Amino acid sequence: MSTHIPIQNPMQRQGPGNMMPVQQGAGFANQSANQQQSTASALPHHSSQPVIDPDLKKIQDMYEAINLVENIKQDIHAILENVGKANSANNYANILNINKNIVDHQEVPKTAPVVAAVTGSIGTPLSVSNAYNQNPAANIQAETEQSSTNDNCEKNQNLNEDEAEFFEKTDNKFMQSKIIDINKSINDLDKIIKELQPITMLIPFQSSTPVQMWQSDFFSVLLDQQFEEKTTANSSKLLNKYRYLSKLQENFNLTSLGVYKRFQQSYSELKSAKPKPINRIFKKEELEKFISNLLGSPEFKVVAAQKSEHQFVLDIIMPQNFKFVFLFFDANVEKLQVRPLDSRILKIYANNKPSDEICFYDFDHKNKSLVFERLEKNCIIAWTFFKTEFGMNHLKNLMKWVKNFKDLFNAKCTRCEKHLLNGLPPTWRDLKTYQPYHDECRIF
Amino acid sequence: MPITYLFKLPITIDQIPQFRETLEKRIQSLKPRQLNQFQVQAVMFQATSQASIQQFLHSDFSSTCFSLIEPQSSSHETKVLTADIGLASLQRRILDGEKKALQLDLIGSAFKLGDFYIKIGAVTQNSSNRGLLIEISYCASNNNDAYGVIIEFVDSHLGLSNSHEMLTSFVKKKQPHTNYTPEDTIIQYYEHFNSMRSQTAQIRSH
Repeated sequence: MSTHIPIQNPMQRQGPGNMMPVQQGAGFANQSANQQQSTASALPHHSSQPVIDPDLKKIQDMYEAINLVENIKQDIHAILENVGKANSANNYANILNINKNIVDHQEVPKTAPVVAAVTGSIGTPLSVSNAYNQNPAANIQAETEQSSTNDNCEKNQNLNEDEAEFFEKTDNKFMQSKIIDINKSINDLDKIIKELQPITMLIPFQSSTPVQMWQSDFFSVLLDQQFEEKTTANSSKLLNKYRYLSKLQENFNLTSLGVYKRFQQSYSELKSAKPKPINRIFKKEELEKFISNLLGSPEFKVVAAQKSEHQFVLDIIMPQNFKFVFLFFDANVEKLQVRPLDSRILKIYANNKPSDEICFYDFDHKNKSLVFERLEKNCIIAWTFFKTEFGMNHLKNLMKWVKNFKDLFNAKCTRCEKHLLNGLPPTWRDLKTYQPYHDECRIF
Repeated sequence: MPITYLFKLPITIDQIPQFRETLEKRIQSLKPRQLNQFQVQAVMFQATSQASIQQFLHSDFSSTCFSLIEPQSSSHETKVLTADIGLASLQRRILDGEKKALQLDLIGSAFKLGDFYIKIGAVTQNSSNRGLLIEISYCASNNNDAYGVIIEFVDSHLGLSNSHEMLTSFVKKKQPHTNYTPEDTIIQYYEHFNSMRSQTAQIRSH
C-alpha cells in the first residue's frame, strides 16, 4: 500500500476566513501541529486588525488562494489513493458489530490455528474476510504465549482501529465529503481570483522597473512547492508564489476536467473581449488567403502546401529574397525556419502555380549565412513571446512582427544608427514598436 | 548569386604594391578565412567594324565564358553573352588578332569574413601594373538592397573613405530591388578595365 496520508478534518483546516499568513506565522506544512495555537492567536488579531494596505491585501489573498489550492490537491490525492479500494458501508458496519460481539463474549480456546494474514498492521479485504470467517480469538491466543492479557486487548483494539481507519478512508460517504470540500474550496478560490488583479512588484535587487507577467520564467516553478513557516513579505518569495498561480492556471488549461474549466482563461483574456475562435482551416487556399490578409501588402508572396490532413507548410517570400517557412498544425505554428531564396526559384513561383514539391520544410537545413541563422533564432524568441502572451491569437501578432523584416538589409539600427554591427545588419524588431535593432543594441 | 561590387582604388601605379600589402594586412588582422587565389582575364577582339568583342573569363565561374559587345552609345544597355567555356577557344581561333596588346589580367587573393567575400587583385597588362581592384560580395543578399551594408563594410573594415565614388556608373544607376546576376559583375569589370585602358592611352600619348 502507498504512503499514508493524514486525514484532516476540513473544519480544522485553515479556511479563507482564518487566513492571515503575515500575522499568524504558521506554515501550511505544519498545520496539524500548530492549528489550535494559530487559531487561538489569530482571534485577537482579527478583532483589533488595523486597516490593510490594498497591495498587502492582494498578497494575502494570493496566499489564501495558494493554500486553498494545496488543500484541493491533498483532497484529490486522498480520493485517488483510496478510490477503488472502497468497501461498502454495510459490510463495514457489520464487521464492526461482529468484532464487538466477539470481544464482549471472549472465550479463549486452547488449540486454535494461527492466521498469519490478520497479524498485519494494515487491514485488507482478505484480512477482513478472514476475520469475519474465523475466530479472531485464535489470533489473540497465539500472542498470549508471549505477552500479557492486557497487551492482547490493546493489540486487538489496534488491529480493529487500523481496519476501522482503512474502512473510514475507503468509505463512499467519506469520499463524497471530500468532494464536497473540494467544491467548496474551489468556490472560495474562484471568489478570490475574481477580485485579484495582476499586481506589479518592484524587485529591488534586479531593477526599478515593474515586473510584467510575461517576463517571469514559467519553467522554473514547481507545483509541489513547500511553504515556509516564516511568511515575511520577501519580494523573491512573493514573485514565486505569483508565478505558482500562473503556472497552475497553465496546467489547468491542459486538463479537460469540467471542474477546472473556469481557470482556462488567463488574466489578459478575462479582461479583454472574448476572442473569436479561429476556425479549422481545411484547404491550403484558405490558409494563403488568411495569412495574406494578415500581412496586408502585395509585396509579400504567400504560398502554402498541404502535407497531411492537419499539417501545412507556408512560405512567406520577402521582397529582399529570403523566406520564412512555417510548419502549421491546423492554425497553430509548430516550427519556423528562415531560408535564402535563389532568384531562379522566384521565376518558378511567378510563372507557374507552385507545386507541393517547391514548398517544403527542410528539417536538416542549416543556414550558411550568419544573418539568417541569427534571424531564425530571433524569430523563434518572438514566436514564443507571442504564444505565451496571446495564446490562440498569436498568429496575427506574429505576422505583424514578421512583415517588418521587408527592409532587413536596408534598415539602420535605431540605437547606433548603423547598418552593421559585428558584420550583421539589424536582425531584431522590437516586439511592440517594431523598430529595427541589432541584437547587441536592443533594449530589454 | 550574391551581390558583388567592384571598387577601383584611386591610387597611382607606383603605389599599387605598397597599398595592396597594407590592405591585406588590415584584412588579416580581422582574422578571416583564406580562400584560393582568384583570376580574371579580359581579351579584346577588334572586329572589322568599329565594334569590338570583349571576352571575360572569371575563376569563380570556371565553366563559363562571358562575351560582351561594346554598346554604341552610353544610353544603350550593355549586352552579355553567357556561354560554355568552349566558346572561348572558338572565338580565339576565329578572331585571331593582336591578343597580347589587348589582354588584361587580374590576379589576387581572396578572403571570407563572416558573410562577406573580399578579393583584392592588381590589374596587369603585359606584366606591368595598371590598377588595383577590390571585389566585395555579400552572400546573404542577392539584390541591390544590400548596397548600404557593403558601403558601410568597406568604410569601417577596410578604412576606405568615399567608397561610393570608386564604383562604376552601372552600379550607381541600378534600382534597389533588382536582382543581381553574374553578368552584372562582368559589366563592372568591363567598365573598370575600359577606364584603365583609356588611362594608359593618355599616358602613352603624353
